[in-house]
Amino acid sequence: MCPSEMKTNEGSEGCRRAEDAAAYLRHELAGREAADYEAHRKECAECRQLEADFARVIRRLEARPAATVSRDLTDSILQRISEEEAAEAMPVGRTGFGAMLLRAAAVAVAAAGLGAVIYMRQGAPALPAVATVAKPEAAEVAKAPVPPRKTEAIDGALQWLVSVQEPGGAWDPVKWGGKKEYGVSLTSMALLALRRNDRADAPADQAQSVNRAVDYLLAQQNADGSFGPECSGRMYNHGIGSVALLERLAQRDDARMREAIGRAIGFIRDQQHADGGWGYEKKATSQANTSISVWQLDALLLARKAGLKDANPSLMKGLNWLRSMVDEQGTFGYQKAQDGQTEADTLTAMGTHCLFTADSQIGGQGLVNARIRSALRSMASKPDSEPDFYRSYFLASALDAGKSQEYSALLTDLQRVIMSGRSGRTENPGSWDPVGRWSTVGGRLYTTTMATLSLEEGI
Amino acid sequence: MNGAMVTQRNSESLESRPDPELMKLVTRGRTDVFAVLVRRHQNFLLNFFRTLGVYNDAEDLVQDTFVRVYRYRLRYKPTAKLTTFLCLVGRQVWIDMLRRKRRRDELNEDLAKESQAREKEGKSGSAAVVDVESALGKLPEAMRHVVMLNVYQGLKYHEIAEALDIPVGTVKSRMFQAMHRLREVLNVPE
Repeated sequence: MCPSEMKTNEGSEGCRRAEDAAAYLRHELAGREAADYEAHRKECAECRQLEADFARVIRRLEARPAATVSRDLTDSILQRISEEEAAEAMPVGRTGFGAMLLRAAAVAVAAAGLGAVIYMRQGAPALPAVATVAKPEAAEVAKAPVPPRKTEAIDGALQWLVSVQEPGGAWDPVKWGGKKEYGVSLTSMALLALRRNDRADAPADQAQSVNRAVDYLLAQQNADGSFGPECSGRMYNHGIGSVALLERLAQRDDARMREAIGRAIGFIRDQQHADGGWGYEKKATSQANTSISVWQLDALLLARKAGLKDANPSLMKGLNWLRSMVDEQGTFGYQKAQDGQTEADTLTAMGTHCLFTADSQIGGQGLVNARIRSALRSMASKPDSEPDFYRSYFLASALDAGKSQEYSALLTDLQRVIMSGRSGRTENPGSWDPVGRWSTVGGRLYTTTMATLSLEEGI
Repeated sequence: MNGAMVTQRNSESLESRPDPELMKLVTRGRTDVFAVLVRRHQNFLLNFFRTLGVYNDAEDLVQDTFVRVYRYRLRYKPTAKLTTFLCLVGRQVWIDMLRRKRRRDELNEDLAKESQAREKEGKSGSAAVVDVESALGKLPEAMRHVVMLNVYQGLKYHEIAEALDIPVGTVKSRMFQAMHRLREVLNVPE
């Protein structure tokens, strides 16, 4: 025992160096650390005993047999790769029903290719050397279309949005594969996408479309200040609607909008939970969550910027709550830190986007620390197995707000991927097909508006 | 020299080449070379998913991972171990699978099945194996991942940190805590 190194810790008999015993045993100590521990263990019977015990534990663990696959998976894997490559070689959009048909048609080609590979592995004598059989020459494969420039993609999407707006100023979610109760959210997202294209040369019909959407949203406000119907998604409708109107207010102030927004902010304040977050409803039985809270905080940040001072107390309380959702790795949880494992990436993108925005607007808060930045970087570098437009939008926003060259490069990569997913069909040109996460909730309006908003980041 | 001898020599020489060399060929689209890597590491990946608690769907996830590794082959850096890259991609595949389980009760049902599968596997072996399975099952998930990746997958601490996206210090701490708990549970004799 080394009296000078005693401490209380889980797993420790008292020696401060006890944690190093396992690392030493696993050959994880090196250099100075290893030399220090070597010197220590000569004097510490406790650590030597731990090493001996842990070595016995590891021997017991190693006696457990490793699992083996029930069959060789190689052929199945190569088959899938071959089908993917054949589908990607087709000169139309990658998503939607048309692409599915093409992938099915590509199977025959893929199977022939796979057959050659399997035949080769079996060492058939008549085959030429391995190197020349593996893949068709590039010239024989039809080239994939070059993704359009970002502004062309945005313009195409906005043109489509204007063309499908209802006469009353809304966009009809049901018509485009979404759920009716999210009408206010989806109209607000379309409004945001149009509003953010505030170039001087933007087509006149886009400005008219924005005005009609604003009129529609204002007409959806209830007596309590909320926007949209009573439904489970009410706080989403209200948060997104408030953000859309506040952005429009910043572009063109008017008394009617200001009055409505004042009441909307009042509703947000009323719905804030005691702990500072927002949930689906304000009840003792419900809990605040990151996804709903971020939209309310975005609205409060914009309200503060617009000079609506009564937003401030709720804003600061809410930001403190959001900050408490961050774990030691810098990722965000849903209702508490480290609980959002399956959605951690989306929640981290949302939370980081909000905190970056707050830091830049309020200043001196230091809300985004190195761990959060690192978590964002790590998340942005990972490939996604299926489109997730919601995640992509908040990720794009966070990367843009982060203001660094590295983030800028990651944003460019992300936007390139988004652009490549545009529908290649003649029907609904400029839009994105309703695929991926949440597409059954929001439909084509959701995928198109979120994709457009993602592309508008960084402009 | 005829084609058969060339083919056989090429096949033999591929099997003996290290991972980074083979991956370099894979980046040029050599699916035949990728087949060698699949056969070499499919059991490794299977045990990786077992470490994460996946039993019934583990072979599907192994396939998904290899397909994705091939798709993102250009992202592999030859300075890193391929097994670490496989774990990194595999973990993402696992997370995506969890996301796809949209209904909580569906997820709970699967978790129950995983638990039954693990229990069944434990019971089918010797008493010593049952003890080890049971002991590992008693560990908190975070600790179990670390100890299984280190002991069964042979990953170094920094590789585990990368694969699980956690700091190396956390890996070290969890490994120690896991060893300590297993020592108690397995009642390791002097």
